[in-house]
Amino acid sequence: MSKLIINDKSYNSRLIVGTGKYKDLTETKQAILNSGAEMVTVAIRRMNIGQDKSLPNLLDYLDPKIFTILPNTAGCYNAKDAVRTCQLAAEILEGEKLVKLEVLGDDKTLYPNVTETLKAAEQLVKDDFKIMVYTTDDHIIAKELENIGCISIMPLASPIGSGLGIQNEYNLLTIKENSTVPIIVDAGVGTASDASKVMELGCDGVLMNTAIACAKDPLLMATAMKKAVESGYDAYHAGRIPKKFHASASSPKEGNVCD
Amino acid sequence: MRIILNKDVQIIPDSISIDGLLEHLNIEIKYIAIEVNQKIVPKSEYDTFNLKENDNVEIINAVGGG
Repeated sequence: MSKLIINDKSYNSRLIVGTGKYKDLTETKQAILNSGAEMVTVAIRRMNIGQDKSLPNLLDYLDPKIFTILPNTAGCYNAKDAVRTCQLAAEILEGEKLVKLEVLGDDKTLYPNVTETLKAAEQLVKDDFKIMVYTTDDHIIAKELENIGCISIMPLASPIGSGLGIQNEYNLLTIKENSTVPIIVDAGVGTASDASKVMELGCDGVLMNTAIACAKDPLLMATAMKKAVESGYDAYHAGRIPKKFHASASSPKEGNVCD
Repeated sequence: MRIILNKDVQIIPDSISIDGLLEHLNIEIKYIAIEVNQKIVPKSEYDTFNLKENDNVEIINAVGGG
């Protein structure tokens, strides 16, 4: 598998994973190790002030010197909050400006609000942030975000956390066809075959959280996802056979002992 | 004195710096960001930035998310 280049850094893994919804930090870390992911998303939140100082911080488990930490703007419903969250993330991460921008439209669907997303992206590019952006599967918007300066476009395949899989194959193909930055499908993956499918479409990577964290066995699912992304990537590059309506025998006709 | 800390009222010693507040709260200066009245205070200013009565302080960190 060739390396994925994001923000001038190369990655062996094309799987990016979230760190939410796990039982504890030990499980979080082990799942991430099993997945082979080198980039992980985190959320930015008010600290729980009453917490015991001896309790480990997420970033004590996922050392930013080892993993690329991708802070998200989850929970932001307008550009102003998203920009503020990115600024806080940069302060937390000692000036690192790689962010996952997501501006949501409503609670029920967690569908992106593209007008606010565009507004936030414009501001963040001016402030020198490197933006990987969660967006709809609309290739016109994807191109606009790319033109603003986003370094990766992350369209949804179906709603966040839904596990509905790839519901928009042709839209994803159109986005990929029209883009020059990495296309990383973010949201909707339910199981390993969904991750393979994303890669078989020629996308550059997959981002997922719930599909691993909420599986019956998250550690095993993390391993499955690693293999799925790799096999989907290889299958795309190997070139699948064309689909035919009728059968085509695999064994030779010559020398058939039944003749 | 009274401040608002992460949306809750908190009584802290008068004229305390951010460094002092973190010590008072037993919070390590590692992977955090602090806003006072909606403005981020850089870590380099924690020792000189003194809080005032009714300041709105937010201590932010990274948590699990997707």
